[in-house]
Amino acid sequence: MKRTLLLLFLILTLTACNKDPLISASAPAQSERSDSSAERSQDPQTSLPQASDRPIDLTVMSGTMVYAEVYQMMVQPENYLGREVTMQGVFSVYEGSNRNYYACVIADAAACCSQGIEFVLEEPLKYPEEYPESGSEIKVQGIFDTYEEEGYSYCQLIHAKLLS
Amino acid sequence: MGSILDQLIFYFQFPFVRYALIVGVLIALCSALFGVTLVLKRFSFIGDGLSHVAFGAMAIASVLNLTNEMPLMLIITTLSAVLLLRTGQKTKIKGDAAIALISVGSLAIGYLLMNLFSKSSNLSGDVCSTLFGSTSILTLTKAEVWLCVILSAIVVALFLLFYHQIFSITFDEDFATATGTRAKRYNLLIAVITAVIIVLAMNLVGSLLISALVIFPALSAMRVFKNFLAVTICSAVLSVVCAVLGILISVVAGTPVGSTIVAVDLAGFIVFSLIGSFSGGKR
Repeated sequence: MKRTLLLLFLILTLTACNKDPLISASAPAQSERSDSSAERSQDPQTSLPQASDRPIDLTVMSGTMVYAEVYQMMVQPENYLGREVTMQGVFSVYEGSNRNYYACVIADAAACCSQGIEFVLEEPLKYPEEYPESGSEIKVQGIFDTYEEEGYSYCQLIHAKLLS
Repeated sequence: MGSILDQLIFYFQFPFVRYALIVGVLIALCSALFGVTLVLKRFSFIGDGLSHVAFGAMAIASVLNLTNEMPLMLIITTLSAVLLLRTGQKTKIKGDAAIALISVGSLAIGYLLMNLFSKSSNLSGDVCSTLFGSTSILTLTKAEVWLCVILSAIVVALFLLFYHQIFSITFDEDFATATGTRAKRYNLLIAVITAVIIVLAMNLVGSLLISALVIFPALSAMRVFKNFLAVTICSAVLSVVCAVLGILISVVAGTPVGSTIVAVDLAGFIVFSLIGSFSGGKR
């Protein structure tokens, strides 16, 4: 009887787990806040141990770390608000009906998933002439911010500069 | 060397790296403990089969728009584990064929369902991430880490508590039954625990590579040691060391976590095979 109860406990404990679904993101990187990601946001322990105003330089991290850190930015954007982010990735453009969305996209180590962050340049350039070619490697620096559009929350780098 | 150490110290500041190491160690430990039994019972491929079942279950949960996929995954995977381990040997379709049947069937149905009904904009990425683990282990929350700690403690406790019974049904189920051990009950226990380990391990190495966590440490230990206790201890230690090394290498070198851990496991197997050859251990 005790053993049966132990097994039942084992199964019941598992039902308490709340793993987010698969990582997926499309360019430009957007963070559609699901219920589960909102729950993640309430967990202060998963935030970075760094001071809130300390810059985040993703260019000095390995590919695996960059992907994991950008994932954290997507699911817990409130921990990164106002921080300067420098990242290197592939330039991607999404031509929307009202405006164009420019993003720096990074792939995971298995090269099957990609996610990235939209950026808005401090000094607007003329598209496509003055922007890099879509798919080319870029290095961008900006201030992490979020905004609402059509009921969804999105992440972006504002006051961004193209470093290369 | 100094720069690698500096890099590691820097990366350890990130909570998700620490979480990955804790969970990696625990899953590696649990899978190695029961891996010895599964290998000796000729169920080496059960991890692969059950992980594909879990993949199929995850696809069903996605189609049903379930917020929490874990309960459904666990129920379906446990039922499949019970079917394979407890009744598999007494049915017309025997062990390996039953595993192959369930394995490919679940994989195909899972992928089909995801293709037909998934609303994700990155289907191939989703599938790839589930199959190969990708960076899932680096995206765990504190709650998930605690869950893994609790479950791992239960698994290890059950293994220690029923060590003698597991030992006897591993080597001779009929003899164990004849001497009063309730073999069916312990087979059920092994099946449930195997399912739990598989569902947890999907985070670490993904569906396709789970078998490596189960079989490599056990087989490596068997190259050198000959008795059950020594093989189990060696397998557990080796599995944990390989998981830690794999995670650290992948974090520093930027390689995929799952396949890096399996590559380290493979290297460990080669080293232990060589040691076994030179020391006259079991080949």
